[in-house]
Amino acid sequence: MNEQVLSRVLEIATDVLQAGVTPESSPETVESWDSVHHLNLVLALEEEYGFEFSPEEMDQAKTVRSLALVVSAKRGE
Amino acid sequence: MSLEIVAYTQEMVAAVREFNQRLLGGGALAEQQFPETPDPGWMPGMKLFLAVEGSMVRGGYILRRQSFSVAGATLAAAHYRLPLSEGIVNRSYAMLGLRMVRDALSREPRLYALGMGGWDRPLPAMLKRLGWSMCAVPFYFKVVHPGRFLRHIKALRTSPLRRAALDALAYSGAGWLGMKALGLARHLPSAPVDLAPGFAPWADEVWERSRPSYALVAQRDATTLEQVYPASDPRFLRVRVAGGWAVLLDTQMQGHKQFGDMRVGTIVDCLAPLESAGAVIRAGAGVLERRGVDLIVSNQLHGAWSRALVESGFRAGPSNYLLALSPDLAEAAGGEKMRPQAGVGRLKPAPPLQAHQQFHFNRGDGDGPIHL
Repeated sequence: MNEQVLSRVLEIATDVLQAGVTPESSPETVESWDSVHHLNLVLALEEEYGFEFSPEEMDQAKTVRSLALVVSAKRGE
Repeated sequence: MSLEIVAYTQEMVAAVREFNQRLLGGGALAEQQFPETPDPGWMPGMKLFLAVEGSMVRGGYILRRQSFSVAGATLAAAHYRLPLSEGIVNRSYAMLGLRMVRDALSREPRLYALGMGGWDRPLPAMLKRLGWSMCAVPFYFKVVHPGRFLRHIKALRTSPLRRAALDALAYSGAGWLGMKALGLARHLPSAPVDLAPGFAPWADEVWERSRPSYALVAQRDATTLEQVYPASDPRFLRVRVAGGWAVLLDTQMQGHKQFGDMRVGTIVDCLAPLESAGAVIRAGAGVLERRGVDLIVSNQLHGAWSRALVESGFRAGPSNYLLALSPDLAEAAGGEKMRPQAGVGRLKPAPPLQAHQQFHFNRGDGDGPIHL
């Protein structure tokens, strides 16, 4: 996975969730990561990278790292 | 294991029951329960969907397909209702709310949601963020019996001191005088009114004459109205007057969270050419007053119906009854199609719904009268 993508996804997640996050952070470990914040995070990533997550990709994306992996894969990296 | 969203069938009832039990066990509200039957029979045109993970149900929602009239032209749309996700009690499913909205939009891009309990609830927050056009459907009330209103209005009787003060006003008659002075207890002159036993072809004539006046209105022909307010249900009072109609409810509350033990009249639904709105509201409110209700309430979005209520002595109160139109439905109704304003540092809410005062929405829409 492109480290630049992971770094940017971490920045976006920190900003949207208003919490300190690591690559392994998930809704279970971050208090503010509820359904509305998850939506905000997904929309922010879609806006940043110019694509929409498929339903399957949304299922896979359960941590910050897995979100970054999906982004990398969609960018062909 | 991946999730998929499928039509609700009879074989899934047991899994839905387990899903409901997990929600309750996790602290969800008692009303946050999905129907334990694929055919709850509440309203015509409903189709139920479930989010399933293997043999487990993790969420569900209902689409109710309806016809709308947009300035006289017919348009298909659907009501997005009762979306429930295990994300309420288990953050592993925090993504499911978004997944279900997108699934519903893929089945019908022209969606609306109604009610939702207030701006601070997750669903309206999510829809607003997704660029849905939103507004509150105004709430109006008229006090008919001030004494009983003051003794039973739970929303105001929130402390011992307040209760004592309201009781003093109620029993001394000062409350009645005060409300009279403020125009809150004005009685309407009585006039002859036709209470119809059901909706017959005359309602089709009202529908055809009225629909061009409204920028957006759900179909209210005789067949549709008979499904929502069946003649077999004795609760519904159908006032037919001035080339229009209103559906009323006269309900004796018991320990209601807002209305206590009051007898509450509701102007649930109504339709007429706009110039007749005042006559219909006056007639409907007059019927309820003469039946002896303590309070009359109504939610009406259209400006003509709102004005008619105010001119009949109603006052506006706070409303948690929200309307949300998906971008495609808002555009079809003559608005601008909004895009979600995403991106870090640019997280803006969608602008408020424009032209909504020409849309006809009330408690007859959405879930209809099932919660009244």
